[in-house]
Amino acid sequence: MTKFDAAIVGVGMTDIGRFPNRSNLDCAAEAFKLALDDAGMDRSEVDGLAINIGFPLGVDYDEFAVAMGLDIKYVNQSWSHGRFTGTVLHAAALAVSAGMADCIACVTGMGRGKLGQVGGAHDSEGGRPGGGGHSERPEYGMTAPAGGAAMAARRYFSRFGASSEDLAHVCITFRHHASLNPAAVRREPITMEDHQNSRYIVEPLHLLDCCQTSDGGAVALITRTDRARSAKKEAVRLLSAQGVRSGREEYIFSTRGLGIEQQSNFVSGPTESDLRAFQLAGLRPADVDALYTYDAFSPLVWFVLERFGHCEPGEAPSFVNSGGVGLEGRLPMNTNGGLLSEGHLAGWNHIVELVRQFRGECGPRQLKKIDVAQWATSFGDSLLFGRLT
Amino acid sequence: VERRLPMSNPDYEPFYAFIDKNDLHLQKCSQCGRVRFPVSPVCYECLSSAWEWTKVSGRGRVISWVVFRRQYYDEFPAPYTVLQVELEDGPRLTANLLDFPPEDVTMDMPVSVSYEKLPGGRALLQFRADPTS
Repeated sequence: MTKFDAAIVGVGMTDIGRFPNRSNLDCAAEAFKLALDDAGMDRSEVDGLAINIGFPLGVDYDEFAVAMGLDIKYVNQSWSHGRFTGTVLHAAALAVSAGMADCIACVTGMGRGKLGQVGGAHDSEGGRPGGGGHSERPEYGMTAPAGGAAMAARRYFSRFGASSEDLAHVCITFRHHASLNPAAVRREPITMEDHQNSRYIVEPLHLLDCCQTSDGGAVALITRTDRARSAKKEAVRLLSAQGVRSGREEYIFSTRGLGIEQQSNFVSGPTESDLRAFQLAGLRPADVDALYTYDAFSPLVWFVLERFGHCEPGEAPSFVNSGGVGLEGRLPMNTNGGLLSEGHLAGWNHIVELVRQFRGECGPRQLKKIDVAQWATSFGDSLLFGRLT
Repeated sequence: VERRLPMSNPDYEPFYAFIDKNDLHLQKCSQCGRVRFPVSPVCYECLSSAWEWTKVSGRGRVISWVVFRRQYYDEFPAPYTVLQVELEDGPRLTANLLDFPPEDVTMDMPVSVSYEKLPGGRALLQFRADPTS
């Protein structure tokens, strides 16, 4: 049984793009005010801050609290990586459920676009002794998350007979979603030829397999469900969650068993642990109407489909190729266009989209049915959302 | 252009000191015998803090590889290959593949350890295709 008593009561998001003349704090402030208005709440009700992306990539909690004139009693700020989007969100939900705070603002104001190239000589994190968090090894020129994702993609290709052309279908599908989203950074449709002709970044990944590094802000406000019932618009309940997985059997950009780094090499469907959030909520993968994932690179979409029981091992490419994750498919994914095409606010833009889909605010890309949505990543975390009943 | 050395710490210093002598040693747990990598102060199998450095063959096979086509570092003109190698002794290591065309790399290709000379008497662990396998 779930212990969560929490819902997203308001969301706000700025434009996404390259804004060299806007500070991260400026983007966060705009998103915060939009979220307060969306929830019909006053800032005096906000007594908690949850931050996923801090300095130098984003805004830290202390500068935000000072600038917004808040009086904060709960703070959680994670390692500044997108892998902790879901963790920051479910920690905030647990904190309000436990009465540690009444309204927590999950605040992202980030400037990935401003920082320029990801990886290379200025990446200090990647120089961690023994290797960085995405398998960076600067002494071998192994840098940027794209390198680690490409390593996993190549092994998946070999194991299951998939190809770069299969990955193209992920990119084409999400670009179509973005074409229906005025907020998206990339809206022009792309073809197989566009994908295959785009230059390689780290082979086998082409430019179009990589996300849009962006600037912008996104805020989600979390309260207990009793408060959520009197929010201005429909609130979206967090039904259950599970955290990021770690250990020798995990590699940040793959499923278990792919045999990258020190993982074992085996083929299996989801483990009981992978389905924990479903079990806690009394739901099954087939109950999910829309799936949102951290698509920093196109292969991560396959890994998520297989890890969480939406596809059998090796079958994600054919599922995607046959329209399975499109707006009319069995399991629409990243209806905003994802990090690949809407832009990269560390997945907080996906959380905003998810809430808007529940409310029916998504215009031409609005899903016909959405009662259960999932946030899940190749990092192993999974959050299930539903309506307040 | 100067090549960068691996980032080290007290755990890794002996590992890199062997490599500077063109020698590949891994930690072997004195309690359970597990040969491990990454370098760690304890055995992941039994948490024993006792180990010895054991010489390994340095032979293995390619389990995945990537080709950097975009240039990220002055000292690494693209294209260049980075691969993961599964050693005969178990652990997997990451390095470049020296003197081999990126387009000819294949999965499971046999490779063996090689050492690239760096300034200051240092060396970098690398791999070469192993025609003897």
